[in-house]
Amino acid sequence: MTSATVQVAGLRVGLAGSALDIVDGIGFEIAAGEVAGLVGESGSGKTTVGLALLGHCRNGAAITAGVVLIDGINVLHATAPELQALRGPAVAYVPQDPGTALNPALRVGEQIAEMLLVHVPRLDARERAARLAELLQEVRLPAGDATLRRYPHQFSGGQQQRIALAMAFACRPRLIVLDEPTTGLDVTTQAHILDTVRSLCALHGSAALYVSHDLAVVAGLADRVMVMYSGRIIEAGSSAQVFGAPGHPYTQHLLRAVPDPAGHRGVSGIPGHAPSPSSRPDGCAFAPRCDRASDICRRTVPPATMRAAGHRVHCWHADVTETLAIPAVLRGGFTARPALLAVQGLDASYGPAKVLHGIDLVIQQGECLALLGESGSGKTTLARCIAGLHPGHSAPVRLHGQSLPCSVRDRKQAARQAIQYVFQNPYASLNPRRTIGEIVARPLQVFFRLSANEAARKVGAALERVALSTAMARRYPDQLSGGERQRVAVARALAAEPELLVCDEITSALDVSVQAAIMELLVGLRQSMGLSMLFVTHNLSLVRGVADRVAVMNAGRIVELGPTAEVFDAPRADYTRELLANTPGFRSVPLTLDAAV
Amino acid sequence: MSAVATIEKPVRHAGLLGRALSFRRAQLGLATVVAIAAIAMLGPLVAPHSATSFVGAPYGDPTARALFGTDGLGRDVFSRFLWGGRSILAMSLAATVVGLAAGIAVGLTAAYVRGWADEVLMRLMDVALAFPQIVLVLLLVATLGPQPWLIVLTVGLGHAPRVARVTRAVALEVVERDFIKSAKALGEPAWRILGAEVLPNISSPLLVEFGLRLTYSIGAIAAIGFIGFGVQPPAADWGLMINENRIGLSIQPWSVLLPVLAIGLLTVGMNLFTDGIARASIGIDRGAAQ
Amino acid sequence: MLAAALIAIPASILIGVAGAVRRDRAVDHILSMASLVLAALPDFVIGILLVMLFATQVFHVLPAVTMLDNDVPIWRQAAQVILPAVTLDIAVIPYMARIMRASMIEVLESEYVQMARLKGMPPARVILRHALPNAMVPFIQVTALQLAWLAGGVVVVEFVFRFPGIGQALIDAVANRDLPVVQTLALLIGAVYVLLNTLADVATILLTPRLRTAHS
Repeated sequence: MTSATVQVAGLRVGLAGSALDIVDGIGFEIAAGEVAGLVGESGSGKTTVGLALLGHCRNGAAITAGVVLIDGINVLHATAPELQALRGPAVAYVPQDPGTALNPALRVGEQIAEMLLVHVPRLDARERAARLAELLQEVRLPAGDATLRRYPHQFSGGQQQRIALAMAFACRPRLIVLDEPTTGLDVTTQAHILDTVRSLCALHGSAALYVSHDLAVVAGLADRVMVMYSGRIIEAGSSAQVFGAPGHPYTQHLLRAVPDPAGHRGVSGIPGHAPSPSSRPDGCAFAPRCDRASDICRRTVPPATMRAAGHRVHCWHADVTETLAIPAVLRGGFTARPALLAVQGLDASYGPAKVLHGIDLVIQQGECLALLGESGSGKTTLARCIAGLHPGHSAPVRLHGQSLPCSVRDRKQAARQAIQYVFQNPYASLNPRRTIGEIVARPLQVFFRLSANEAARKVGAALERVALSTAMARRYPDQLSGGERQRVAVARALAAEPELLVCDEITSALDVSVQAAIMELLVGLRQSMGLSMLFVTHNLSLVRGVADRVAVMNAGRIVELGPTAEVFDAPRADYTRELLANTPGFRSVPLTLDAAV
Repeated sequence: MSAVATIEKPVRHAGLLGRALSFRRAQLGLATVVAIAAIAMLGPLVAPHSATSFVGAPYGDPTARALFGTDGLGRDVFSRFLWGGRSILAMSLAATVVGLAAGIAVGLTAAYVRGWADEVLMRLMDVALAFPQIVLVLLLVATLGPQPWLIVLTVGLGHAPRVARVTRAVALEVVERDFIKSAKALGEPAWRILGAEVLPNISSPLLVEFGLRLTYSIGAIAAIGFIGFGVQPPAADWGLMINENRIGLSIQPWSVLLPVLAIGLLTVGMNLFTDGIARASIGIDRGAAQ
Repeated sequence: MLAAALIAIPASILIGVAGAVRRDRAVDHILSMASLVLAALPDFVIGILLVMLFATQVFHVLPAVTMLDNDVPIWRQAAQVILPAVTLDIAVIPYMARIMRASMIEVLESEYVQMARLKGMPPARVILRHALPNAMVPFIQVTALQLAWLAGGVVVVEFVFRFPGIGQALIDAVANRDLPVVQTLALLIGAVYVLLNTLADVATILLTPRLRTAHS
């Protein structure tokens, strides 16, 4: 046998009571001290694989075949008590959201200590206390009783994730499964957590499986990378191989969809979306979206092709080495134009807390201004003040020099029409009980006094503008994918024929390939319609490709404002510099796509 | 895309009752309710005697003339049973409608306006909750006398606080969603937002609430009749029948057993059916939230 | 009523947890069917059916009406109290058990309970230490409402058994249009409710660290 700590072969997880597989034919190995990255978009089955390594699957699913060996012990054959004994000492888990995964009713000290209490019963109270102190130090939490006696809600998100890490490493596991542990954390906190994970794995020689949708994070952390699509691993190899010379068309497209913080290339999306487990095609699951697909792709699942030592690609056309065109940088240059909208000395509060302090901001006609900030910076509040959705801010918003009332209810119809807002989460911004046609028709009825029939006739054109088919009008939101829903939300906003489109983190709930497609759409619309845009985001890389100017926000203040290139290449504020430094990118990895420029 | 549409077929409102009836308990429940309701509504048309005519000796045994014997005054038990369901059914239904309408109105308003008005409304509801329904009814009956409209109104308004709480709880979650903000940004008036955007999204929990409240209304109205403050003698009423005849329980059980069974089956059937709706609607709401 | 409450709380916790842990197995189905049926029955219907079963028609083991002697301590006359107390319990336990079950199921599906399982915690510890304290909060709120409701249900049940208590007194007062007595008794019942709710709020705060510790 090989020396790998973890060996997985033929793993299959299916929906209980049906022949549908969530994941199938999963096989890989991880050596001691090695970090393996498992990347995929939502629905690819990456979390299912991660949980299967602990012998667990969600309600309604069942592990139907395969072997998971950890130090030679098959986790999938363990009885319930055996499994219980394996979890902790052999394999540990770090959850995606420690906010919900830590028990709100128990002190964190007890939650960490019970790992030792249950799995290492030979320790006495004093030895246990010593281990706890050591663990706190390893995960860089403040030492002492004060930390242990507190409850989870008394810690920040980053600290909560450190507590989860302490729990996971308490028994020095052979394998640790990390399920998107930095999603929802700020880039700076994320960088610190990743650093801790890396050093703990090296220190204890634990093998790690790092599950993530974020290719840039995985590129910077993992020794080896596996890419999942629709329940299968479609490419695996060293980080340098997968990110430097991707062999599968999906991987290639996916890398082109990741925005580049350096701004050397634009993004391009992948048309369509991944099939759900119930509608996977025969053959290669990517074939319907693949421009290289041939008959054999649609008939038979492709076997592994070795491109190089340790670099495995599941594609019938893995030998094709054509280079994909590099997406062009779509951003236009910055030119001074007359002001469309201005705020001066704006303060705003959220409950008792003041969240915006003296904001001065001008949005010029026809420009795209990016509002960049981490969570809690006040960027969304500012966007809502502008749209009249945040009651009670101190200074008026001026549109074409005219003051607007605070609340959208008190604004004149022309002002309501001029500023349109697209919300972050397309799953919440469309009424699930109305058809797409009714949703898009509503602004036409309200603003242009069209009858229901007249409005319905115009819906088709509004949908086509965002590259949706007219037939979509009869569907309900839950019959659409996330990307399609966000297109509907954009169509609804554009139906009002606004002057300013406020986009509030509109791609943060979407997969990177879908995000890229939405960005392409927005850039195209802006050029064809001469729209002004306020683009609110936490994603620094994304800004580079769309914005003329950037306003960087921190703690309720604009700390830097200037043309995009200037802010990125010669940041003046310390905060911007820190942000730039902590944003993961592919800088360390040679990218053939870049090299072909 | 088409594959998604056919396989994960969305279940909309028309489908809710159908899906509820896929549970065997719900079928059983609905059948029971329909049967008892049919007795209550159609009973007077087929009753062999009038509800008040005397047909034999007090507490007489079952005979061909009086199928289930006679009551304490010598009236036909079976005929009184067939006559006595209408009032309970009609009053329960009316009380439930009153309670639901009032509760939904208060709950929706509280959830939508928030702030101090929400606080005041919900505190008022809490105070109203402090008096058990039956005590509230007794209090008012003591003041105004046993009037049917008064009982309908108090039982109904007795439901309102709980309905308001449920409505507010489910509406709060909907009101916070972005499509409501989007409607506000369009300048839609509050009544339209509540009626066209919020209400359709909370209709399944409200339907469940309707079933639940109807169950409790039947129980409460029957109990009020039973303790003698509902429909007044000599009229026939299931609750009243139990009260009138329980002294003779050991001699002639039918005059008590028939109405007791009818009330019991009605409430149990209603609850089983409501449970089916609740189960079906959980599935639907999950589907819509995905 | 106190007797009924003392039985009701532990019994409904036990039944609720049993149903949740054995979810969708036979035990759960039987418990949930039984609780659906019993929760629907009005309390006086239960009372009369019990009387027919144990006192008049089938068995003749317990008194159909309660005749308490005020000079004898209540525990010596336990037989007199059994039927009224059991009636009240049957009326409240199913609902409380359902809430307990629902609350427990929600907690058992939560991420932190899944996390406890993934940490390799033994099942007993998962249920008692990780799940139960969190599941108790909604249960306590409902219990307060249910016990307050007992105060109302008592009126009808006392009438069934002619139990010489506050409910019987209330009905007599209403029949006699004795308004001051009615008002006093109604107020008394209202006070019980306020007291129970306050107790429930205190218990909730004790069980929810988020409510009693400051954010940092």
